[in-house]
Amino acid sequence: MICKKIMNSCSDLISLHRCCLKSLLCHQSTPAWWHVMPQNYCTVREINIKTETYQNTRHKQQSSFNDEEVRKFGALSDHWWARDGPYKPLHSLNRLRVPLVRDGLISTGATVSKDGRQPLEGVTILDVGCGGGILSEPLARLGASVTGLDASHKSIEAAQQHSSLDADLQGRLQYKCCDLDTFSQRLDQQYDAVVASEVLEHVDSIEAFIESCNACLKPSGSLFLTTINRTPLSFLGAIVAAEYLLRIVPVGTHTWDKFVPIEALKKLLEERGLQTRLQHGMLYAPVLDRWCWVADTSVNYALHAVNIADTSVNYALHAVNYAPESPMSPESPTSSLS
Amino acid sequence: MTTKVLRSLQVVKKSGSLQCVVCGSRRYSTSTNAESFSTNTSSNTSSTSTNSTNTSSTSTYSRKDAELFDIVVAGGGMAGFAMACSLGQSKVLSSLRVLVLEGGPHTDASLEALSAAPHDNRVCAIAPPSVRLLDKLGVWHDICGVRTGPVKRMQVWDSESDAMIAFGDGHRALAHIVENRVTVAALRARVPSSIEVRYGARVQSFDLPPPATDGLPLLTLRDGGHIRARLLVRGASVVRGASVVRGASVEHLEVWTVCRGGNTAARGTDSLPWWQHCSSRYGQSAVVATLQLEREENESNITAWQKFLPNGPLAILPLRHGLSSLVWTTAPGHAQALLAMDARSFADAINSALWSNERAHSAPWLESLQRRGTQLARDVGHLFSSATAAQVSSRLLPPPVVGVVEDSRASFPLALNHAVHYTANRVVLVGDAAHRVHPLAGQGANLGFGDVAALTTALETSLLLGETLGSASCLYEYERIRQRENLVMLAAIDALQKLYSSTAPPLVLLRALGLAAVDAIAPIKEKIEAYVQR
Repeated sequence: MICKKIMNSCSDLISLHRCCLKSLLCHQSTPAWWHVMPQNYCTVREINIKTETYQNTRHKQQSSFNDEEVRKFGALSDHWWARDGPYKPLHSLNRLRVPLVRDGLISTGATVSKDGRQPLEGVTILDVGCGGGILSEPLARLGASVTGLDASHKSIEAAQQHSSLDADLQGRLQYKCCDLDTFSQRLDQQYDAVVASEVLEHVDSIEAFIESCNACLKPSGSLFLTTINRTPLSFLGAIVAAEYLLRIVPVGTHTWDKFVPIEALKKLLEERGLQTRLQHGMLYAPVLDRWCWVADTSVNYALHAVNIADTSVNYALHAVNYAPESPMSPESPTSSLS
Repeated sequence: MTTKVLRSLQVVKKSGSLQCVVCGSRRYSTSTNAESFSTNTSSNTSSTSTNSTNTSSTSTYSRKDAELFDIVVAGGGMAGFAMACSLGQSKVLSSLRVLVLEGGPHTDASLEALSAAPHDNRVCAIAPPSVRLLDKLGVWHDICGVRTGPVKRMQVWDSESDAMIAFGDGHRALAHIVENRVTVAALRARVPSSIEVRYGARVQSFDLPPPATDGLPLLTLRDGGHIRARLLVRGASVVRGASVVRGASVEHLEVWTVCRGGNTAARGTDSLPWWQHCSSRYGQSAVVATLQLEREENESNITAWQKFLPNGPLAILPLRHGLSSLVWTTAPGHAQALLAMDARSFADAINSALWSNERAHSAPWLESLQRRGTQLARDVGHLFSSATAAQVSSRLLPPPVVGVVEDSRASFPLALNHAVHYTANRVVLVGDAAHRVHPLAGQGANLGFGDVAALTTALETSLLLGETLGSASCLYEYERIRQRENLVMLAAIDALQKLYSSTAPPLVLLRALGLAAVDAIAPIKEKIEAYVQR
């Protein structure tokens, strides 16, 4: 509660100072960070009100993907697999998101075999915005048959080239260079799970994106999302700290306006028959290059939603056993399997 | 004959600390002179290392005729076979193709035959964490079926003062003294049939991929075979014969030279800057033997005795009623003299070392200070324990040694080695390949088993995260976990060794008071016991 109050006052302060600064800096050379400041800053209170009828006010177009964003990541495609490159946090994020997907799918009963090296044997997964395949490859190694989807040719080339190095992946992993809207319209099969990790904050229309994801899902399929919340803290953490101060990711990777408020997202999912089963905050420790689960979702968060259009399955029952309050520990993946 | 002796001594050189030496079968010859031999091997090792630098450009990672295995465990021994068992029995890892290269010959020695054979002179203390691992592997039951010497009480004292400390209540086992060959044979019998074990394998050269590349380690065997491994695990006592190591960066090469073990390796590292290696020679040799004790009818042999002498600790570890194993750390010259003695005078030498009250410094003020300090420690101890439970360990007297089992005496030099990196690109060190410690705390084998457990967990976690086998992050995780454990133990053991190798009065006073305080203040003592037992 106190946190919320502080955040509110923070956001008010930022807006206020922004106005003052704007008048001061008018016609002068503006610093680089200025452009990444929220352009249509609304306070947390406003966001809370807006969640009731969440509309994407920024871009009215129906397409979910954004050309500029696609080009931005295409330009960095040589670096997808460099361990100390700009995507280092994405590599280490696998320690959280692979267990999220793996244990999430096991808990919904999408998997047949729970033992052994390949707990996801026989599961079909669509990885939307797969980039260089940082998440697609591990999921395929766990036995799933994975389709990686990305709108950038260069990223898909990098992903294909890297996956050809590992013989274990052959036949389990395919990449398609296509945007999600087109893909979902010409779907030849539906998937057990759709994963969109660190993608939501780069798309234009969240609604269209979720709509397309839902179209790709089988009845009772799982949707896994990880993204960044739209809060003052996420502006400080994900943009000021990560891009400018610590230089963890390249400047301009993220735009605060495009971040997705979690409550709004959940509401959006709910309206489309996707029930949120689990939500967790994620925290990155830059020097250690480690992620950990946290309760606070105000910066990075992960979300697991299940398509309950098919009402024959009683998910409420499952959800109790799933214990969403206790974060799955990446340290002991076997505990949740055995 | 000479070559045989040389080879057997090479085993002494190459194998690790006292707890974790000799894989397999051979009890080495007792009459050989370890010191005179060390010059031979040192020249041998130095020539090997020059080879390795010269030929690094000729390495071939892309051999098509090489057999490909997922994991190759080079060097059997306790850590190596435990690793194999652990890999084979893990649900996640059992589908991997694993090969174990063991330098020693295949022996048919069954566990029944071992239980009838006389006790071997190489033993190690298996602490409860290691018992848990062995139990999980299904091996501990087999080992108990052969023979173990449970240590239910432990007494440690100092020749330079009256201070002493005792652990254990006489009921619960603090550790088990097990012959190395029993442990190895039991582990070997439990290696699942899905895992291939090649005996008598000699590795000619290891070609390691450069850091951060996609190559795989290539092993060239003496018989001309080539093996590629997606992950190379270097076990305890290494495949016999000098092998050439190519292609690793300087510090990783360093790991390999160090893990060749023994005095010679330590000498070979002198030219390297201090931050790239961590090794020191203690200038001590350990004399091991199987001792016959005076049998006392009503008391079973359950106590481990250790007395710190100015030259190093003398330990007597229980094997069974009337039989104990000796580990006497002493100056190399004295060790030679002890080996040369006849059995009668050897036993006398042990008895007089155990019972003598001679001190280098015996000033009355020193003794009075010690007495007062000890009294103070006991008074403080009373504060922490309830009035009835407040008891200070009373000194027990070790049973006299009446003889030594024929041909059971041997000696080997001691050193401290610790690899700065446990892992390189697709290479990982476990057990004595990564660290060798002084035998005074009996922790060598236990650290090795800890490595095995940690590496298995790290690999399982990594595969369930969908990472490639032997991914850098998995190996790094293993290294991080193990170094945090091992370095503490290594530093503590090294500090104890240094503290007790002096007879300077201030140091003697310090350690006497320290020992008295730990003995008298129950919470501290319980903490130490819990740390070792955890």
